[in-house]
Amino acid sequence: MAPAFSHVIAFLLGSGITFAVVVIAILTNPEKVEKWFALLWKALVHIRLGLRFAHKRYVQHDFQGSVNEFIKKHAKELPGFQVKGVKLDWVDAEVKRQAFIEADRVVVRVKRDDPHHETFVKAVYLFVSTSLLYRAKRYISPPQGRAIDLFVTTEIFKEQKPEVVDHFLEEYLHPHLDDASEKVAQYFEKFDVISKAGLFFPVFLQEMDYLGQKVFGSRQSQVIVTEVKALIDFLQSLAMRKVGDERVDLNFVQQYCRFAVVIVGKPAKIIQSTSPYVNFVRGGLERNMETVYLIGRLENEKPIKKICGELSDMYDLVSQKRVSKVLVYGDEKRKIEGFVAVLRSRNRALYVSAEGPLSVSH
Amino acid sequence: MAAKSIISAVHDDDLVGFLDSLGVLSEVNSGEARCKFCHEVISLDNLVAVFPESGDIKFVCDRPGCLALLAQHRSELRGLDQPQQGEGDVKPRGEVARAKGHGTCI
Repeated sequence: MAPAFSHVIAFLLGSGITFAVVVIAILTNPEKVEKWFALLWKALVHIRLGLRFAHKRYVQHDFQGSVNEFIKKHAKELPGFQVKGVKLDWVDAEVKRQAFIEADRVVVRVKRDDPHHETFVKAVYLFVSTSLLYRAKRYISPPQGRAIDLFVTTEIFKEQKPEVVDHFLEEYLHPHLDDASEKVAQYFEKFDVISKAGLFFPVFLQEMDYLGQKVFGSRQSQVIVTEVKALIDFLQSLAMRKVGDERVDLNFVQQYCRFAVVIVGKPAKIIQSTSPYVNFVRGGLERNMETVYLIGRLENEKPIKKICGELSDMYDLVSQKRVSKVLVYGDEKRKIEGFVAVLRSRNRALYVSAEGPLSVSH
Repeated sequence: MAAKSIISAVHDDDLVGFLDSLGVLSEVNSGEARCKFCHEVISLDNLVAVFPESGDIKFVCDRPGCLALLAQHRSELRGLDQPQQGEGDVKPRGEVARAKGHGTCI
């Protein structure tokens, strides 16, 4: 009896541990579970079992799993997202007109026959458009906002459903609906250059998020539109900068966006001490500089963190992340792993009025 | 970050019942319904989205450009929904010179 009893105990214990591991995995990665469910329901759709129910569940889990996985994975790089995830909610004939009007939601039609994943494409695009940088988009031009939405949506597709990227760009980037389409395409191309240099999410979107936080009470302004255009051109120049070229301006100081990029990279300096960088940020930058982006190769992660620590009396470390980027060495381009730390001044402007900036007091 | 964003959807099999419950099925079937953005006649084939506006029901056709305009339209409305935390006047103050030649690369 004793050996049999011990086998039972061992079995129960083993099963319990396995069960616990599965439960923990489900609780910590709900978006992965969504994607497994999506595959399961897709299989049921293929064998035509409970077709309508299975198709609805497949669409729901496919969408939620993909978007939520992207958001979770890139949470630190998505400063402009004001939501922590997405949920697909089905409506049917039970919805009453008055309730629909009061809920004030867009209802997207899900087609049963959907060879190009149109439903997925539309839902993700709508989600990004209404959840990303909605404050900043009040002030910038429609082509700027549309280009940002298209670019971020494309990045989600590249990672989660690469097979829809070509179709999406073909259909949505060049719809030729209005005169703004050409501008949207131009901004999109610039974002691509900026993104390859690892500057789109950690610098551009970060600045757009700060812009949205700062400017209050007014609708679109030509000054802001012009400033955002200058910001995009500035980051494009920075992205195309050749390593070692010190002629490229690394400060962007305008009415709403005031930041400096500090490249922590020269081996001769970084081996000796981090103090040249610390001293430069303390004394070499304009006093009203609000954000400092410390950028370097991944091997300089420790020195960059040390610099951040030494500047903690003046700046808050708001984010730090590893990024893949392409550097230009003469005529050659090389992909490297990099590191970005974002420092935010404690004495930054809250918003800009006609009389001048109003500072945050600490 | 706030809570999860909700995207509402209606399945093809529920579409007719859904439009009927909103009281717009006859409008769609008779060809009176138009796309909010391009004014194309809306049918059960080309309808891609429905949303309320000013107490009325609006339709969007399946042209990608119209979905882009819908996204932009909703994005603008979302921005207007946000509480106003101050009436900072953003009138132009003239061009602010971009600082040049600081050479932050050290």
